[in-house]
Amino acid sequence: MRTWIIIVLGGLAVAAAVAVLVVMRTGLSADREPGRVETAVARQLVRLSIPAGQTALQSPLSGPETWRQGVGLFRSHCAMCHGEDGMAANSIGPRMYPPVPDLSSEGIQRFSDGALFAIVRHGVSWTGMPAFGRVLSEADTWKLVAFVRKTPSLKSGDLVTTGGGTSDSTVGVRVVIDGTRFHPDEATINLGESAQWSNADPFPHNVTSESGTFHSEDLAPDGTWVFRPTERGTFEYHCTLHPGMKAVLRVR
Amino acid sequence: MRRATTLFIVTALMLPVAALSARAVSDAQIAAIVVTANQVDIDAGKLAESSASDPQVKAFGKQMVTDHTGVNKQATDLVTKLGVTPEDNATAQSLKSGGADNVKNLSGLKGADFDRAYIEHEIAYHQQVLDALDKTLIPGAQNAELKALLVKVRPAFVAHLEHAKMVQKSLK
Repeated sequence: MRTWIIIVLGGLAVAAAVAVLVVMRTGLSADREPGRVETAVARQLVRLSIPAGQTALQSPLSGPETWRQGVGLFRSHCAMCHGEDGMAANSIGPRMYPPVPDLSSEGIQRFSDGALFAIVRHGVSWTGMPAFGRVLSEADTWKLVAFVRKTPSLKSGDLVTTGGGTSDSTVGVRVVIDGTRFHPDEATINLGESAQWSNADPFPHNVTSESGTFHSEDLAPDGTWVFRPTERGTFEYHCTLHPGMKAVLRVR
Repeated sequence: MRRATTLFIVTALMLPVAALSARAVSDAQIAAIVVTANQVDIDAGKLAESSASDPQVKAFGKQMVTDHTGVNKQATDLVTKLGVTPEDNATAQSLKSGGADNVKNLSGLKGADFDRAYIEHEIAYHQQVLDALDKTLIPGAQNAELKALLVKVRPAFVAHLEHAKMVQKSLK
């Protein structure tokens, strides 16, 4: 009996020592990459944590175009971490620990609709994923699930919202990037409206606010980006690729 | 008095030269100059992408490859649409040999020396192309679409010049 206690205590001590060593070696910094085993184990834990009944849930919303109703919702609730297209190739995604996953990747797409629904509603502890259960209706959550399902086959232009949908907003200004300039370089929109930028130059540009409030991906020629501010204010922005390109967006 | 006379003579001599150079280029020659000018900077940019040591210089080189490739594609598309065959000429040739000399010179350099020499040349090159655009290419272009394209891409060269000067300042 006593030997068992010693073995168990010894095992716990070894485990604790390993944990301390790991933390001492890597610190609690968020700028390292998790290993493949760590990722696989974590994903499996998330999968196991969702009750079987929920995993099997199916969306009451059918129709191949349901995802379009999720575009605006995704932009206002998810894009700050997941990126407009869910690929997390933005300024925040890769800097979290664990890093924000690419929703279009196979690892995420393998989750069932019900599992994705549960993850959005309840969040995932020890990660940056919040629980949206009290923020979003079940219907809106299903729209987001539809959007996540769409991410592997998103095309440029799919992310443009032109109003009409429940969570979409009207476009208050259309800024054209042409001749390495923003036209107009000063624009004012109302809170709740969105601003749209389209690139008419033969090379990429981006839209980056000085304060870090918004940042588009690089817009390819003919590319379009829509952003709906969630606060009033004066936002100076520029293209990081061409530092001389400056403009202002006012939200009243 | 003598100074005024000299000034008058110099001005009188230069006017026809300027007028001639503006008229002397055909759209076919402009096409060749534009394509060569872009290609030269793409080649130098590729070298900087692989050989520069300062991350800003590397990024600038990458940017030059992207932007000038884009401009070249649009120029080539337009020239094809217009049915113009680019015609080789002295300006295009000097751009090409200047670009080759630059790449040769840069290939022998490493580290901070490479970075400095590349950026310095980029500044001179973009200044030179801007001069050519303003004095020869834009005034000389006959076809309205070709002229419009040159006017449209001009600000990119200004942006590159300013960007290069910014990078140069940070290197010191």
